[in-house]
Amino acid sequence: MASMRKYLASLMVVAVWASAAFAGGYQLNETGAKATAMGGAFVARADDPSAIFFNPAGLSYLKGLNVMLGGELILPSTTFRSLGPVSTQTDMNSISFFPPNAYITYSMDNGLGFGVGLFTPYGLGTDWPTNWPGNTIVTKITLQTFYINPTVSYSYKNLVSIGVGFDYVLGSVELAQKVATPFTVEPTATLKGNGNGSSFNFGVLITPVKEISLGFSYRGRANLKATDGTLSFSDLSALAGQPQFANGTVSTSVPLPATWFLGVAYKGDRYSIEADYQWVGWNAYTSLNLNITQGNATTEKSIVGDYNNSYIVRVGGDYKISEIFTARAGVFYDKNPVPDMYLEPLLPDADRLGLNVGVGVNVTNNVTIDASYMFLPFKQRTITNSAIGFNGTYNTTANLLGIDISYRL
Amino acid sequence: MKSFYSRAAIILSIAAVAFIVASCNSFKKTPVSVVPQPGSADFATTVFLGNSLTAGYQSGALYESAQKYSYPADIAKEAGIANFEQPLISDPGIGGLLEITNLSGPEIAALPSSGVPLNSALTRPYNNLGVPGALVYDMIDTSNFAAKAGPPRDNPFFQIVLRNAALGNSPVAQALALHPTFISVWIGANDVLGYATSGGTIGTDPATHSLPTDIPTFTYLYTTMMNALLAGAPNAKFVIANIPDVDAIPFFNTIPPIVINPATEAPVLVNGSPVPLLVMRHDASGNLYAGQANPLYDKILLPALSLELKGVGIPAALGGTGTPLPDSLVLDSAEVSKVEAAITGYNAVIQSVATANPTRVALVNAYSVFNNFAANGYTDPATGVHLTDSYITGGFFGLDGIHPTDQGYGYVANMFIKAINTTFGANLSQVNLAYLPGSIQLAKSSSTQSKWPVIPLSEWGKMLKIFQVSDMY
Repeated sequence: MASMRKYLASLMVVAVWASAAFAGGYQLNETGAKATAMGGAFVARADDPSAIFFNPAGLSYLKGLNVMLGGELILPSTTFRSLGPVSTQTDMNSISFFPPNAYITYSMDNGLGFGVGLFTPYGLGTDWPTNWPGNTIVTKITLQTFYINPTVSYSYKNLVSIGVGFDYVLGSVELAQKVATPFTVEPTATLKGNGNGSSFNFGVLITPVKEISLGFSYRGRANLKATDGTLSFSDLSALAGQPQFANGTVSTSVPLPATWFLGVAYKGDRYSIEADYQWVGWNAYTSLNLNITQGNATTEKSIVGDYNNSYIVRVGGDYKISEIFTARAGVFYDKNPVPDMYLEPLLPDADRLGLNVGVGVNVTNNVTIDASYMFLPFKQRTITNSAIGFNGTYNTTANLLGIDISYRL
Repeated sequence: MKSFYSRAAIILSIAAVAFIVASCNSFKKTPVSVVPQPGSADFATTVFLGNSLTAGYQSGALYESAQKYSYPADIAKEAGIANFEQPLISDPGIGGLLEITNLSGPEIAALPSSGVPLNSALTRPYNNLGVPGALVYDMIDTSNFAAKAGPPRDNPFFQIVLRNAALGNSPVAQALALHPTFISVWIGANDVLGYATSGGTIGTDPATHSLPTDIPTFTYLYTTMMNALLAGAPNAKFVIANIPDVDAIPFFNTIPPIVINPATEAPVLVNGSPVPLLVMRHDASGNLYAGQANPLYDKILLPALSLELKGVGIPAALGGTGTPLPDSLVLDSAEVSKVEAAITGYNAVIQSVATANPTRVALVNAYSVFNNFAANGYTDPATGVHLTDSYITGGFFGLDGIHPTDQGYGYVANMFIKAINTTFGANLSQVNLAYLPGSIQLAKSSSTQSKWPVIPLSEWGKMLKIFQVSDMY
């Protein structure tokens, strides 16, 4: 009779980490309420402090000292329905996120601009009921990143501006899932880690004539390296004390892909409009490697994702109603990077349509408030060839509310 | 100039909007489900006949949590069968549900038979008419099924499953009363298991009550049953399964017939050779004697473990008592031959029914599927979940060593589904074993230490009672 310990050990390897991918399009481009209200089509204008994110070349054209603070409230809702004649539907627990953004910039009359931004361009979270059918894949996951992005820009004769920046990346990740055992006891495994990484960004803004501008910006890939993560178990019941469920350490590296924007904008007297193309280098996510150590035992797992590069097409504009009020609207189409066979409930990704409206209010000469609302329906996605045998239909929508307060001096 | 740029920007923007609109033509939320194609079968009214395996008996009891994952329930789900009803019994069921009380042993104990029927008011027969302990004879026995709850059979399940003779006075009668369009039959295992699990001491043959049901009797009963079903439901399609080999079941293949060192789990060697256990077995002329187990052919039954731990069956020179394991815990080579002959004979009969009705009857070759499983185990191609026939650790068989776990029953369901799909051109999906819950009971707290599984003989006795059916005629 094979030893129970050996059995449990092999079970740990096979079942616990078989599907622990961080998954999908965990990108967030909603780093400023003004840009978001116009569908994120902003690279060719970049005329507020969130230029540090969208196109650092835009810093040159801001005036004086600017401070902008705000965030984006994200309210996703997902349902999963298993395939089959008798299908069961699971609603994801209701969750909300509020990735903040903060910028400070200073622009001089000689065309030089400086600034520092703090924002969250990558992040995700899902939270499923602990007893749902996919609980051995995930019950909860959160990925948070913070980019600290000092930036400098220079404009030549208001014709061409360039900007460059350095990214210091801080992040944290947490994943909880149930452990499959042959027993009626279902322990929970929780993986937590903090990490950091670095990257750089640059942008170009060309204004051949006063009404037209062309923008391009690029942000390089970063790797969020977590070396001192922890593995812990709960809900062990009678399995408590078994060495397979001892606390452990985990190290991993989460790729945060490169991206670039290319756009053209037209600025009239009272309105402006812009069309952008954004490329995202998701093929950086080929697999996620987890090194798990429990006591003297080390397990190495490689989880294949094989994402495709993807793109987002954006259109947006604004209309100046008065000196105080500006109305904004925009749409985008976001192509998801996840091949069907690797789509998992960790991140139920799908192609998305972003419908955006917003308003800017000049409260005083120095203070502006920008607000945005986004309705984000996802394409219904039915998986029949899941690599981990977890097939079904995902439906997701999200509502996003953004607000930023800017102060000019 | 300005109006040129203005137009160009607007045209570009319109083009981009058009692209976006064209890209998202399918944001409708339409329910997606896989509609099972039944092929030439019709699952509108499906009924399952059988024994404990069909009932969903698991780890020594029939209980709701396991019944929900019986293979009939799995198949009903994949086939989209509405109004599928089973004789559910509240946890911990009836029979004495076994649970592990000490994982380090593991030690095993039985919970009380405190379950109560939950669905007994149903005014029609159940779709799952599997009766734990049923023989092929019981399928067509129209005498008083309620009496089988009393001695000597002491089997409460006939009354629980069949309830009221007005619904039909036998499993076959109740199945036909449903006017079924599809009938599943997996019966006959107990006709040989009663003999095998008693170490060849109790039998179901009408002449001696000490042998497996003899093949002429089995042939008569099985063909009578099938003819009644085929004629009684002339348009129904069938799936029938044959009998697995005892070699494929942990109850018979967990304890080696040689002395094992509990510390190393390796055979004890004397002069380089393993030492056979001391057992009661039969000689060539059928006389019982105390002697050495045949290390190649004798099977030591799982309940022998607790005696072996007390030194029974182990030579005094190796620290044992020097007394042999009793006849009831040993299936010696002659008895194994009788078991195998019975299974071979039964399976020929079952095969002949399928052969005679090629368009109506799909055959599940459980004998070869289980043997293949015992040899190779099963690895789920998508998730890597691995099941083997090892007791407890294999994940396929529950704590009684005979009946599958939820995952094991899922595998059984897939074996039926494959046969149904092949014979009737249906396309039922397979059950995904990786996402079935673990079902081996683990007591809330566990004490420590003891290297070998300790299973009180009394607990095994309770389970074995199901198979004590010596008086059926």
